[in-house]
Amino acid sequence: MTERDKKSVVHAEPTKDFFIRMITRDITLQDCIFDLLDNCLDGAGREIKLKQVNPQEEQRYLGYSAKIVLEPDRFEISDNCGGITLADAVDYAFHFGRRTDAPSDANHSIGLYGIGMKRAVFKIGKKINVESHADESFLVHIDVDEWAKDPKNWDFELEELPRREDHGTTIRITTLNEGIADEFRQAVFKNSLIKNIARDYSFFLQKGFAVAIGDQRVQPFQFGLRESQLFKPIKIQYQDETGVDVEILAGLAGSPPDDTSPEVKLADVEYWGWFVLCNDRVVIAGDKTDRTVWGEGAFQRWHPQYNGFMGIVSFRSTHPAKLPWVTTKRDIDQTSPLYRRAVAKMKDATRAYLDYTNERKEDLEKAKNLEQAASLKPLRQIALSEKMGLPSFTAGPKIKRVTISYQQPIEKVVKSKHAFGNSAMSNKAIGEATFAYYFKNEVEE
Amino acid sequence: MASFESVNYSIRPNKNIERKLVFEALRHLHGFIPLNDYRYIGLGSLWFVDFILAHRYLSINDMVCIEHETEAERVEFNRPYDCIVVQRGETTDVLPNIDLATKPNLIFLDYDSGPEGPILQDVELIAGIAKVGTIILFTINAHRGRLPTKDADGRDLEKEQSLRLIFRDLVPPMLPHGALTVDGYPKLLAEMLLAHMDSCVHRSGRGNKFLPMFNFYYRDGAPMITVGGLIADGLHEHNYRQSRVSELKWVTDKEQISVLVPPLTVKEKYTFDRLLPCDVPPNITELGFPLSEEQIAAYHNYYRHYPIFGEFQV
Repeated sequence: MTERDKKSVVHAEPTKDFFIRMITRDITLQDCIFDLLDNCLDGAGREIKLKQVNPQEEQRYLGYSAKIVLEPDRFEISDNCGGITLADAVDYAFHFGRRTDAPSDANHSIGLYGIGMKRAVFKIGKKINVESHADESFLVHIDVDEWAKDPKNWDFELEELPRREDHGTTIRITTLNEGIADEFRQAVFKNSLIKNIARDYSFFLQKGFAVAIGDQRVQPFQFGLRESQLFKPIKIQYQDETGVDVEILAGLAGSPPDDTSPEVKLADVEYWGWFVLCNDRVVIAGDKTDRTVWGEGAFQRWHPQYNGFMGIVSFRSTHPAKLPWVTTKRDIDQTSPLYRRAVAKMKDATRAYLDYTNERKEDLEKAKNLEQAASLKPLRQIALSEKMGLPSFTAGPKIKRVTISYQQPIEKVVKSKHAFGNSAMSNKAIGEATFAYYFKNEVEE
Repeated sequence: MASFESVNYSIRPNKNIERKLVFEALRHLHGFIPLNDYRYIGLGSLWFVDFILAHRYLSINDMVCIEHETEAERVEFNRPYDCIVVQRGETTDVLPNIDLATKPNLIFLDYDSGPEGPILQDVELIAGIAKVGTIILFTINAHRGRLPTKDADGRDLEKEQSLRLIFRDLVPPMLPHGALTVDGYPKLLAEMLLAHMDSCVHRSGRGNKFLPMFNFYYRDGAPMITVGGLIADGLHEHNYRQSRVSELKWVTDKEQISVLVPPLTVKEKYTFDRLLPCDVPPNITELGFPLSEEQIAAYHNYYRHYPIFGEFQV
């Protein structure tokens, strides 16, 4: 071995290129925007704590807001959530990786790893301005290409600005990365962003936090479960041994479909299944996979027949690190014992509903009427209940049934649906309707 | 009954004008993007009006007419040119069998249906594979009443629910005021379809761009919209800009153009024409016969394309 070989060292330092290219790959553009929105909310949380005001929980975020601008040449997010203090900027916000001694200073903070902001802005574009007004005011300008040229120096230059009364942060990004401008141009991207903010930040928006995309204010999605004399959602609360507070709700939220064949368009499908929340933030939405209960172990897999079911499991803690989420905050660490314990309870909460979707077929018309009559109730107003209340349908006298199956030209079928006054009716339904019509007119005395 | 059995397309004045406007714009573009090398795909029906325009003005010699199996024989009989091939079946079934990827296509699908029909699927299919340079145009019924009023299980649907069921994320999360009124709906519909085309071209992952060109609203009975544009790469976009076709006032980025000319007698038409061209539409006194301001404006806009129908012996 030569002298030189002995001296060689393994360079384990991450390169900037790695950071810029690789880490930004693991996250979608929408999740990046959510990361930045999380920072706004954390800021608001800090401010509320700092000001030592104790707002009512229902209006906790009243007066705090974030505005997002998506233009083909520019991204901007600005808030009035307290700004970044100079110390935080130096130690955390512009430092790579959150320091382990970083205080968890916002109650029920959702930000976690100190990586979100940098990853998000690098994903979006190359010229970045972060302007912050807290007790001190400063501007950080990052020219990503310039910054990447110097392999050793990881620092960003910080320019002090005159202080300002209104505290808040504005991040402005220009020279957008390839593909980003195209996304911003898409009405679909914007629409789905608004829809998902409405859903994933629903509980913050309901507590007064205001989010606008351009000049459009996002209205919170109203989570609710149907409740009546006969329908009673499950609602249980417990403290896990880790100290994390857990709440589980489940029940009927929509209308179960009669016909689940592939050609049928089902409404609101993205809202059925399980939702997982950590500190009020939706981490998994409308899940129909084994990330929650479906097909997990011996449990039934999701079937379209279950549409209309909604389950919500909510984890809350003042120590966000205890919550069962991963760095992107868009997925759950499925191996977390805390989460496993909750899943066992979620399965219990789901079972009764699955049986109901079969039982209701005994008297479909009655079931549909009862379901429609049960009104949606906001989660907060739902009373604690260990068991799900569901109507039961005593099977009438057993009538032996047969299945009739036949094929017809699609044009004729479409015309018949029109004639029945519902062009969207399913093929199964038109089959039944035509038989019933024949029977009534030709057979029944 | 197929729609051609109830009406001859060429004698609907507004549809007639809309077609001419489209082909005049394409002819304009032709000098910069050679459309004679294209394949024309349409729903020719018995009359082949658009096929004749495409062959006559753009010299397109490769033409495919898609027709329902049940009507195909009569349509086949009425082919005006030998270069037209009739392919039998529904658009969604036939389109995948046409080799859209080897040469650019001019696709003009004038459906009998509304948004509940095959349009969304067809756009996606074409945008995903058609060769760059392909021009797509779609006409659909824009009557609000075309929206299904019930879901598959027979539960009542509000108009907005019905719209969301069909268009999903293409529908703005908060519908603008008046979006579902008689006037607002054709605009919303066109906006969503253009967004869908843009999105499908974008999602095809081929680095192409959708350049919107047409957004017409017209009515000769049922309200209809025609929307479309060009699937472009850098070169096509450059040529498109060079052509300055967008300087034609009916070639718009996204804004909807109404084509709603009144039926005029031959005498009225000649009287009006004698006052044209002029920058400001004439008033009733100048005209010498009564018409509404909208009707005057519409004719003033499109008099060059206004058709005269007459009876003749063959």
